[in-house]
Amino acid sequence: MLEIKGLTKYYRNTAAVDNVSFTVRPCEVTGYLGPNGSGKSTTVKMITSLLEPSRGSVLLDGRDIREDPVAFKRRLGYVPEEPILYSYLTGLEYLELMGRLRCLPPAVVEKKANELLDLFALYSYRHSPISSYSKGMKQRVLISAALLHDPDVLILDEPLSGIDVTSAQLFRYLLTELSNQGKMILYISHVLEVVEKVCAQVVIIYRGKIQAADSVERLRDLMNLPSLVEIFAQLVEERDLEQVARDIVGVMRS
Amino acid sequence: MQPSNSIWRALIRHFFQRFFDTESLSPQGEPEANIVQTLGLLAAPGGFLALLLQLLTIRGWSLVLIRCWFISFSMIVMGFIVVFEWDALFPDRRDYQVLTPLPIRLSTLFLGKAWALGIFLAMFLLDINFLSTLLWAGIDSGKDLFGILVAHMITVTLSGLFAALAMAAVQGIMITLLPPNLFRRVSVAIQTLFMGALVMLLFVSPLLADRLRGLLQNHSRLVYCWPGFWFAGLYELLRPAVKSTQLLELGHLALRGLAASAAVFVLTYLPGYRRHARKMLEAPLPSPSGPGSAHRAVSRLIDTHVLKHPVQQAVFHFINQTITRSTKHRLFLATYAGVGGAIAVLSLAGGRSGPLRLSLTLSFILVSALRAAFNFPSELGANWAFRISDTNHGSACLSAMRKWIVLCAIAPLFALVAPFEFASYPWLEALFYLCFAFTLSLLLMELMFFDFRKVPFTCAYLPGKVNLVLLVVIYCFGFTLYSRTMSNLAEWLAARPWAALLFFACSAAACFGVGTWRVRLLGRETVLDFEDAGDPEVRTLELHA
Repeated sequence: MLEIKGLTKYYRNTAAVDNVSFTVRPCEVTGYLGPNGSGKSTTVKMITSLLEPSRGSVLLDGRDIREDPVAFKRRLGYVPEEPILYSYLTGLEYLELMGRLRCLPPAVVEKKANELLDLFALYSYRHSPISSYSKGMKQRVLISAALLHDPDVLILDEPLSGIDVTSAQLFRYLLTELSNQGKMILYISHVLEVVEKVCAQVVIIYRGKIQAADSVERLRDLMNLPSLVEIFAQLVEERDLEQVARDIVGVMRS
Repeated sequence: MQPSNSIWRALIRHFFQRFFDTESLSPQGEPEANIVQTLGLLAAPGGFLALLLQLLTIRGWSLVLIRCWFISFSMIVMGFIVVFEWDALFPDRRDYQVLTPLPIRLSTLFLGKAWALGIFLAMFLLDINFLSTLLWAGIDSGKDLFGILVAHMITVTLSGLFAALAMAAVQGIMITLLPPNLFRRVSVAIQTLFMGALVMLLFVSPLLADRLRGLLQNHSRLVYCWPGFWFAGLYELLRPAVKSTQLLELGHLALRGLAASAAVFVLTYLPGYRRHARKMLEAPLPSPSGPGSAHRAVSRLIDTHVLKHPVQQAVFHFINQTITRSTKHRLFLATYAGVGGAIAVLSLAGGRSGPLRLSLTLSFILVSALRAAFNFPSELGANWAFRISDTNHGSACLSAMRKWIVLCAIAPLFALVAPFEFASYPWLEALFYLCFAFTLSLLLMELMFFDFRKVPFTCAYLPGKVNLVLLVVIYCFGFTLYSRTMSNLAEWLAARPWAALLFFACSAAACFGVGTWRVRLLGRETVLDFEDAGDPEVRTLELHA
């Protein structure tokens, strides 16, 4: 079980993430939602040790990950928000690099990398530089790299960004299959329809603070709203969006 | 419809700023500051030299020699600038993606780019030659002040323009004639080659200028090989200093060369532009081939016998892939190679110990070049891949780096230098010198990389922290001292086999000692650096006891 306890990050006295606590359980997909700039990616960077938290801790199976960060990273698969990859490497070379850095034997890396590229429909592009890939292709390379070492914990930050309909559907099935395999999955997304279908529980963050953390059904019942989209809008959006849209058109035509 | 002035200005300003908006020139994203720094750096040598020469009265062949220096400087620097901006001669993919959807014709974009290129080249031509032209009247002892200044200005400007156009024309020819895939490969190789050659010429050109008189007197055809001599001839046409008919003939060649390079540039730039635009906007086709069988076999051999740990394999191949594919690092190493090439030319002309000094000098330059190149990050944002992986294999990363330096840099260098050594000395002596220099290279690598705790190319780098002048002084002094004392030591050891054996034993002990010391200093669990500490935001005077 992955427990996030009181995680806080200050940037020049402003809390980007303020006392965030929630739990990611095995065999479950936990959705982590929030508008742009709400602190989702900062939370994720702290969990993955890319950022040092100002306060709070992350526990994996009851142990603080700072006690043995390497052991935690060994069990972690991560897809970052931005598809930043070494663009001069080919897709296959990138997966080989990641596999070797994960200490997998070369034969295993080669076999798994080629098979994953094939399954993600990238096999014919495996020798092309990543610089020539579309955003969706880069995203598929990142997902492959995150799965290469069979991690127990998966943190997926906007993995569907730029991905086509077929790949998105494949990804939905993949999430369900991975959770059936006992993986702990933290899934960050703006595509609320997918979140609603695959996530056992959702955590909603707004301006660095948790607004709600529960199963989608319970949130629907509690807030008496029919869908996650409306729950989300009620919790995080203060503006009248229809009025904003009218204002935008007004500015455009002025 | 004609584009309005505001569109023109915006386009030209945009394309002009893009010349400075490169990862190499402005890693911190401050192009304006870099423009001023670059201009100052390039204006200084000409102005400084012209100022020094004010103290002398120069006439005849000495004047021709000095003219040749300034002409060569103008040509080499302008050539260097065009080669450095090689990929910016045409708009890049980002330009096309941003500008093509706008209601602007391709021809307008072309003219905007051409104008920006013209302004860019004119600015540098003026910058590198302005001070020397201003001070030239104090060097040329003639009476006609206006004529002196105009002749100097015309010659140095035209010579620089010739070099810039010639370099750009080479790219124009390639883009017009070669298919896109072949163009990419050849273009990269040509750019690197030109970069190295120009840096080498910067050091060798004063020697070339010194040879001009002798070559002309011997009716050598070599005078036609260096365009700097052609423009020295043009200068002679405008303001005779030695009244040499052969030199005057070269002047006509300069005009023909300039016209030819301008014509080729104009004829290839427009069709090249159209081709380039199409190529940039079309999606690339998948490449099914991958590495060849020989490449795969060598990689497997290295993986099996040299790199036992998967992390070592990862870092070794990552270094290889970055060095061969990152433009910034390739050009950086090419400039070092140019310096090495110049020193090689000078070393080979340095008597009996020349070839011995050659291997010592080149290995010194190679190891220091790699030390510097490994510090520069490549696609820094992507280093999360290393940070997120197991980081308790720091020692495996550093070991892979050392193995790469030995296998892919030092060993190939000695393979290249070996024929010169064997041609210059008896085989046993040559073999000893090679072993001696190779051993020293390993020691040098251990010393230079002693506190290096990074996976090459993955750590942020703040160049402002480095005192460039101090670094140059230390390197020049250390390098001169190193090559001279070590070549003397090698000659002394070659005559005393027992001392030579002792040297190798001591070197092995030193390597082992440095390695042990490093491990103790860095700790068994080597933690790698991914962030440059940089300067503190608040500096203290540190007056406390």
